[in-house]
Amino acid sequence: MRISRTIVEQVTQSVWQAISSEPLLTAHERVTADTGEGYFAGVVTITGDWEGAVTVECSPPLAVRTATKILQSDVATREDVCDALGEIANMIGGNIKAMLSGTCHLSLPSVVSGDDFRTRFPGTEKLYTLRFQCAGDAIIVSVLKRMTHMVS
Amino acid sequence: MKVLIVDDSKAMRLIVRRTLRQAGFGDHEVAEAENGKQALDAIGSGAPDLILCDWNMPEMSGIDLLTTLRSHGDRTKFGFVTSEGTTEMRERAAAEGALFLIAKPFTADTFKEVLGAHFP
Repeated sequence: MRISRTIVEQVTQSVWQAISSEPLLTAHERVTADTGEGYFAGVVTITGDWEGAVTVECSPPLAVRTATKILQSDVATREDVCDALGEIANMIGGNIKAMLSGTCHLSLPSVVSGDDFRTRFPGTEKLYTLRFQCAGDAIIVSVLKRMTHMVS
Repeated sequence: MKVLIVDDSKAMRLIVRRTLRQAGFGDHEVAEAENGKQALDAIGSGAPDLILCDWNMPEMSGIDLLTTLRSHGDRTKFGFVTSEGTTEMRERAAAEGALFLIAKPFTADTFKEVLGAHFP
């Protein structure tokens, strides 16, 4: 099966609805997870017959709010937030991987947090970037695919 | 009944716990482990009746935990709760002795339907 934008959106909404009661709305192209005070980025990679990555960028207020909701706690440590976002990336990536043909393997999630950084995946092309907002805070899901090159 | 939840994500272990309660299985004792290796230690010191296990974990994966248990003659009820629910993985899980594979994200209804047969 080919990954489509619609599939990525459906998977993201399905995962989100399982962990949060807040609705996830489609956002315009200028929306960014970087609030000026940094952001979180969760990543899983897929290798095998299809190779690429799925990234989930999340603004800090939404990342913290989601973690506290999952933990059912008033506070969440940075580790808790990274863990929650890593699991979100894992679920979105895992469901996308499940739709791919052939044999593929999903990595463990990695989470980066801070300000003024960009995640780059050399040798890949971005297939889709889907921007969402939840109560005004951004979460952005991207799917990247490794480019295949003809060697002459 | 004693349930062992095995997942490297604290958030997911909490979600599984909560979903067990929502599905009506909240009266049972629940323990947690962060990976297959910790699970083996936990099983050694207090045998669970049911293991709910993630597939992909550091130190020791869920499938490696299952094959290790079965190779030692341990027949504890075992099921996967994983983000990867491909046909291939379901077949491999069943071949190694897992009773079920629940794909994430899941609902309380899914837990009720799949786990109901394994609780008294």
